[in-house]
Amino acid sequence: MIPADYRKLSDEELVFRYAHKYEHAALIYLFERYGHIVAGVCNNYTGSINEAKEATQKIFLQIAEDLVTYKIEKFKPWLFQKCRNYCLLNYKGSLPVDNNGALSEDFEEDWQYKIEEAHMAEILQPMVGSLDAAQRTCIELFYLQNLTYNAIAERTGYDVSTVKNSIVSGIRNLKKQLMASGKVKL
Amino acid sequence: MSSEQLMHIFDNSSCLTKRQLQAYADNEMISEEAHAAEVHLNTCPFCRMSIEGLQLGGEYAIESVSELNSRFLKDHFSINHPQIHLNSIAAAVPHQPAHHISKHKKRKKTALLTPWTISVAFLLIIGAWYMEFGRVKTQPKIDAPAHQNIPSAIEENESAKVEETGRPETAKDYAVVAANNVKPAKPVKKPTQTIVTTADYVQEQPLTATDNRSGLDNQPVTINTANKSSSEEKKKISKAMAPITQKSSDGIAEKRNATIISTSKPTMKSDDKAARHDAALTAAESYIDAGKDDKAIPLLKQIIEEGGPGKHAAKRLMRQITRDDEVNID
Repeated sequence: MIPADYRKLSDEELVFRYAHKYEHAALIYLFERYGHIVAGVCNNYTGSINEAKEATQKIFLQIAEDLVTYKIEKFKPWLFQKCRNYCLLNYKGSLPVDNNGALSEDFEEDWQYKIEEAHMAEILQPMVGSLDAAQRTCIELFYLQNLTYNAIAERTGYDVSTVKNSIVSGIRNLKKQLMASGKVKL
Repeated sequence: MSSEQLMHIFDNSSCLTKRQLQAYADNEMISEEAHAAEVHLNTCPFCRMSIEGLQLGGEYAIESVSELNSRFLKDHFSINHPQIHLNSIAAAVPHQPAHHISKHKKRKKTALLTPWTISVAFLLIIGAWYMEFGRVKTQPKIDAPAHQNIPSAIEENESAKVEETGRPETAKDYAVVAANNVKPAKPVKKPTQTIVTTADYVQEQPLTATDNRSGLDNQPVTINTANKSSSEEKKKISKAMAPITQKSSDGIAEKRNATIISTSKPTMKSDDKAARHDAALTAAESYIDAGKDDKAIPLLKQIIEEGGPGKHAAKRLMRQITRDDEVNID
């Protein structure tokens, strides 16, 4: 079915193979990689998994044409945006979904390469201490004691969603502080 | 807080697989697995939103995710971009000779329409045509037509007469017009064809020539006499024409002259001076044509002595006859 070497390729490499070498298997593998995630996102808007699966198929058929037409630099953020736009366009009547502040800046995947590893602890430790109490507590429990959301919720008494949002918000604030300090290699 | 643990705060791991997503959404993961998944979820809003959506749909939604497959994409590609599996076809197709041989054969079929073959065919056609029709040019031509035997003096005289009057009046005039209109003779396969001219047999009769076309010497001419009552003379003409039409062109001139002389003799004895002179002049011309100048001279002298409209023509003929002898007619 799918060649084994496709599993080693990045999203962008697969996109290139599909768009420029007309390797259909590359797009099929991208569907294997992201199809279920797209279906879950669509289920937020449709409220029905069957409609979500149908929407997933239509989105990927549209992608099959767009990848050849447009130059896609970052596939995952582009796919996420495509999925949301499709659902907003076709399922406006659905209830609005709280995406927990999911922004495109959350896809900054190369943050760990922008910080020198030797100075990572020295830079991040004072910044984590400057976060508010809920964010600091949740981040410390999550990354220091390797607790899950549920475990943190049990220990702190916060709601699971609050724990999740606190961690995500704390990471976002850390990025902002790093950007402001100028210690990030841009 | 150790730096190693904080290294994972900006996680860049790949998204959750279908199994991981289902397991996490269904709370089937152990704490270590769940924590690893949550490390990714902290930095991946895509997976985070997907898990929220699946958890919103309940167990049915989580189980249904596994039914997703890429068959629709394969169908889509097979419709829009059909791929031929040559290896599977190869077994069904019977073995054929080498590929280059079949190509060569194909080219050979179309070689019939090349410019080379067309030009060769054209040359062959031209050669065949030349072999068939080119030989005609080598065949000998027939002798000069009879009208060329008419003395040039007569032609000049008669043509001058026609020019003066504007239209031909006598049969002789028609003969002159016909002779002037005659084009060079074409090669004829049957040179023994009968040649008859109107001037040979008819004199002093107003005629209307219905056939004044070229090649008159080679074609029998239909003569319509204007005076319908002169049936006797018509019979004479037809009588005179009958034997001549059966003979060759070599004896035509002699016969014609003899006929003209014989038909002119009765008229030469008539009381009408003009008719007598015309008949004498015609007979003299015939004698000259036949080479009997000694018989023509008395006739011409008589015309000159009597005087009249034929006097000048007679003088001209006398001058022509006696040019060598330097005879002074006057």
